[in-house]
Amino acid sequence: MHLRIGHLYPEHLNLYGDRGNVIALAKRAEWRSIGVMVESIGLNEEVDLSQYDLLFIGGGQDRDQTLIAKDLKLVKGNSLLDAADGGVPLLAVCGGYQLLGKYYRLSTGEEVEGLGLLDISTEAGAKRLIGNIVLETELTGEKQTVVGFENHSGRTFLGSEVKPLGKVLSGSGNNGEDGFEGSVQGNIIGTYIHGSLLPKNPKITDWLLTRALERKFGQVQLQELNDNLEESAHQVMVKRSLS
Amino acid sequence: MRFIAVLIGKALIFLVRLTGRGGSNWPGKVVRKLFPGILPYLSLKVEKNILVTGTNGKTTTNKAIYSMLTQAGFNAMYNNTGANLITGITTAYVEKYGQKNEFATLEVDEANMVMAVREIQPQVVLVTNFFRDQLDRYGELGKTVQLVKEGLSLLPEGSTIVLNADDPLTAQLGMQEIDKLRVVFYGLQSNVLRNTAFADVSDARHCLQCGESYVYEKNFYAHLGHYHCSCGFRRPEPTVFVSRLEDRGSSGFLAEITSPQGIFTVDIPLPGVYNLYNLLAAIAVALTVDVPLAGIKEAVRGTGAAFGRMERLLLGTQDGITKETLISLVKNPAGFNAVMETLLEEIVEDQLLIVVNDLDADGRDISWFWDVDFETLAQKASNEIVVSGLRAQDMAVRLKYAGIPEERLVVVPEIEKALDISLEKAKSRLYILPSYTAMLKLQDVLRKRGQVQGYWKTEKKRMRSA
Ligand SMILES: [Zn+2]
Repeated sequence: MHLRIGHLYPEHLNLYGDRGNVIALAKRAEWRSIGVMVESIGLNEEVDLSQYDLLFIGGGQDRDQTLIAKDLKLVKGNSLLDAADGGVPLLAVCGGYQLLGKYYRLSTGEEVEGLGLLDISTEAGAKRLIGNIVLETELTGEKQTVVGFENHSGRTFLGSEVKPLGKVLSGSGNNGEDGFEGSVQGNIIGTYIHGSLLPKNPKITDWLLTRALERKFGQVQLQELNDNLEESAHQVMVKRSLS
Repeated sequence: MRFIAVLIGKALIFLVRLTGRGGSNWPGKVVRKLFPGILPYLSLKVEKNILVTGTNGKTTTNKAIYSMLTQAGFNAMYNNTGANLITGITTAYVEKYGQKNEFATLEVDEANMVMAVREIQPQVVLVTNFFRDQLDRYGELGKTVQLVKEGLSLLPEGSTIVLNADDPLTAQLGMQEIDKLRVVFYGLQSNVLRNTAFADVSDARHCLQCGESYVYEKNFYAHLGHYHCSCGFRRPEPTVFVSRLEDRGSSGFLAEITSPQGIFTVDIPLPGVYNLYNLLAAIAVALTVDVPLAGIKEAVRGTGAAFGRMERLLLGTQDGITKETLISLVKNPAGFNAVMETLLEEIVEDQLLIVVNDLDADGRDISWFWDVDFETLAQKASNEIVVSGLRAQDMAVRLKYAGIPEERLVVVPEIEKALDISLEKAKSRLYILPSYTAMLKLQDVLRKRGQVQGYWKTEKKRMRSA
């Protein structure tokens, strides 16, 4: 078995250690003897994204964000929509999450059009929402916690076609108002959570890997791994945030 | 009124000392409340004020400038406790009020630059470099650069800014319309060092002018090197630069410096390319304010590391066996990579202890662990690694995913216990890489054991001997 992982714009969208997500995906596949190839996909590169088994997009500084929005629309837009239609699992964090939505409304009132892959929209907020965050999610079918760190000024609101990734137990989440964080639509997860997200939340990593493998090879059962370290790092933050 | 404010400030500083705590911000805070004009007033009493800002190396560089000034016989003051917020800086001036100082050299937190320049109106500002650091505090690197730029725009006519030519983010500060200022660039000549082996995920590798990736003819560390861009932006030619270099590993460098004041050789006792940059920056500043070469050379030779900045100590295990211990503060990916690049060969031979907290002064977001190139360490390391601090488990996870087997990761969150376990495990040398508050905690533990002095004690001793 073999997976091809595409890391979108790693040169520009690499804020807050989000490459940890790609490392986690690759390692947890390798540890199960699943071959992995991680490919960087940069600005202006025309590629067929539906040929990938898993995609990741992170967040960047404002200036880079504008560059990427343009590239997504003019260069990779159709290809990414095809990939999503074909069920390629995609994880989008922070800026990448916002770019997949319908629009981002700047503080000036101007709207930057997004890709519309997720039924969400984002508005600039006055105060940055910064801090540790804990969610409760049912992504994998059973209730579990998600831990990480959020740092965003955008306020994201969900439409009817997406479900939140989870309920906020501690922290701000999508918009700091409705008590939810992230979005799930089909095989796409969008979230504000850094940390990096995947290493300390191995169940989400495995969910993404399972979606990727199933799409390619049909029904699969992932081999169990020893997650003691990940679990203890996870629990430390759950305890700290909820006590 | 001003005099009363100073007296109150001095009394508060005395009280702070008495309780033995190193807090140096709140005396300044109180005095500023009582008399908002206090800092402009006090800094005017000093003939020349120098500000040192930038992400990495402020403390070491500032200390080096201070010792160059004093070696050359000038009366000088500096904020020696690493208190680099406007309140801590005010405390420093209050404390030194009454001494007739020709120079004040102060490290300034980047976010405090606007206030510091406005109130102090310095003759010289040094900007060392910009790296990602404590992003949750500043939002983004671009904003930090913007804050410093804003600070520079408030400088009085005729001031000098001293800039690192090898850091594009810093260099560009000196390449716009700043006709009323003098600009001095410093850097390394391209043939003095090899390219770095550590992967860098810095966000400074793209041109600020046009967004293209820089082309690096030479890459010394992180995003520092000889770069140019297709739009025409390129590294400025420095006037103060290292023209020849002998790398002596963990005992430092022998460097030939070329400058308008002549060519001379300095003996730098600190290891690491970043320390080479720190000392070079200090030399560039010293030359700018006409410090004679003899004073500069003497001061460089005597450079000691600040606590936790590559400091070497002899520490005993509980059985009384002595091990050489090297402590080096790590606070961001570039700094971490640089320390590991310098020490890698040694670290993999003996015991490593990484201690990371996530308190405010450390940066609460620990996502940056994932930007450190631990993969290179994992390829070479074969010993156990001890991890400690509030985020010990997170560091363990990072190292596991870098390729270090779980059996070789020893997780001991409690810092003092981790220190003892690591000392036991060390064959002859222990390398400790702590985050900022973890470093303070270690210092505290060692002070209680009588193995290092408190900051204030060391300072008093220095003042008496001066
Ligand atoms: Zn350019």
